[in-house]
Amino acid sequence: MDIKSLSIEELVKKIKSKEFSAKEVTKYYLANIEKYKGKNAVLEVFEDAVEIAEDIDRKIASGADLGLLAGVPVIIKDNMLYEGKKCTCASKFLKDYVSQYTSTAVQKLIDQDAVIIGRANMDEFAMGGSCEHSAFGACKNAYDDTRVSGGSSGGSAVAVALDMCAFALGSDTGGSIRQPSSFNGMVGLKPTYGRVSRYGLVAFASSLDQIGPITKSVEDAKLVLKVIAGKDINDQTTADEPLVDSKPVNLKGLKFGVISQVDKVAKNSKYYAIYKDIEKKLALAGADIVSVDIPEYELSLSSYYVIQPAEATSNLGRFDGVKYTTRAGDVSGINDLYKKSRTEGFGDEVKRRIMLGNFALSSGYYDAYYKNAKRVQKLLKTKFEEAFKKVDAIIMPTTYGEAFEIGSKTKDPVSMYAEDMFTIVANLAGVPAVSVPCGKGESGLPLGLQVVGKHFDDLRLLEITKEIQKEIK
Amino acid sequence: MKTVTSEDIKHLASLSALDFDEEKIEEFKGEFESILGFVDQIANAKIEGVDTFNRSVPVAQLREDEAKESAPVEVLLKNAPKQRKGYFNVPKVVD
Repeated sequence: MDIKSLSIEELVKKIKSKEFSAKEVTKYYLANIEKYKGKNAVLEVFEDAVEIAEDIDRKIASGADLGLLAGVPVIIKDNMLYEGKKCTCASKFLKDYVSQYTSTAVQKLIDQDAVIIGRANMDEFAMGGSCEHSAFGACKNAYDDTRVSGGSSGGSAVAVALDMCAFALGSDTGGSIRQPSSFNGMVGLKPTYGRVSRYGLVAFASSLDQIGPITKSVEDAKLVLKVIAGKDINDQTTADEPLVDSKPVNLKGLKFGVISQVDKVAKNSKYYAIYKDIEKKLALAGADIVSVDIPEYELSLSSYYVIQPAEATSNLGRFDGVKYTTRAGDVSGINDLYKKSRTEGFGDEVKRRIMLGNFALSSGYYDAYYKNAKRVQKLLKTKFEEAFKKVDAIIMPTTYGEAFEIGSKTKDPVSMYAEDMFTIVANLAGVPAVSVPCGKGESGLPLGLQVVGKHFDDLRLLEITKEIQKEIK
Repeated sequence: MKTVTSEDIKHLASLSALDFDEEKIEEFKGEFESILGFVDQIANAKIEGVDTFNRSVPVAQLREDEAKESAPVEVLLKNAPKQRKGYFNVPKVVD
């Protein structure tokens, strides 16, 4: 049974035509989860996975019309609610939390007859770029046990890379889908802000969070996006923008932007030549490479590390020892209960961000930090809109380099934050961005190319990316 | 706020409803200094001609204001660490 090389569409076709049963397919992936247990990518395998697959088989046998993901096994990041299942955000605080309803994105997968088989490891509350901040232990890189998986959706990326599921969902606030996808050689898409509902996604930084697919191919990403996208009455920030199918594109005559301020930073990467080579190949294929000026890019990292903790501190206020499973014992009064429950339940990185957020929002600092950062966010959105009047897509590295060594950045939060250097700008501007494999580093581990598109032009972005991949193979 | 004092950390901890022992305060002090060292870039930047409260996310569309059934109390209380008679149970708040 050669499942690994199949696209999702081919897999569905074979399940529907009974070449494979959904049960066999689910069991194949479950066996891989067991085989790669040491990676710590999957926090829980749902016990009803095989049962659900059997249901799908029965439906097929009865001749019923099944959905676009009939029998496809999926792993979801552990910050998406799925009714009756645990959802911990890889936090001690929520270790016993059971979802009381299902998130829209997961429901849309279920509506298309996907089989949700488990939940993936992540940095606690999605705060981190290495998956080392998980309260349940780090997730290791798919190809090297001494390296990080990336984060925060590290478990999701490793699960796809090692064939533990057909695809996974991740969430991306500052690069959390794209960076681990890059580190594990997968395709990771952060859709346009407002494209996919955040209802039932445990909120981290609400103006930046977006759910998206981690897949083996751009074609698969396209299919999953079509399933999960759409306006949702339960998420007011979802946009009423139709997901328009793109005509096939030809590289000849396309214009690719390179942000000069990004390029200046990328020069510090030892893999800069690989990205310059990609530009050359695209130019040879008939595309134009254009330099784009976005000076605000230089303020993006500091803006992000003000806005994101500020929003996080507000969102995490709900974890108070009263409502969500964890309560410290032996407390003297309500304030002590809040304090002790939070102190015991949260890990250090979460505490750091809560404190940083409260600093940025506190009187005397609010105008200089938070307001200024919001100004930059607004400016970046406008600047990207302007840039896309001139170019079809913007290209840049996803990361500085290969997956780094486990433990090498945990003692220095600032160097960990700098990991997001190339990815956060798409979150701040709200534009869609995808990371695809584009070569190997000196240790033989994958590198990623990031392609950024126009607001709500997600499908054309993927079409363009597919053409780029043909040139860089 | 280039130099971070223990008092600063204690104040932020109190705003955050968090508690730290002396050792952790020292550790956070150092980390905070380096973090603020880099986010200070934004505080020192002169950014003009932008309306801050001009939303940077799409404007939400409002739904009809119709009363609907919401999840039952028992379901909403399922994850409560302590509950009593359909309410969250907490230590005494007012004497």
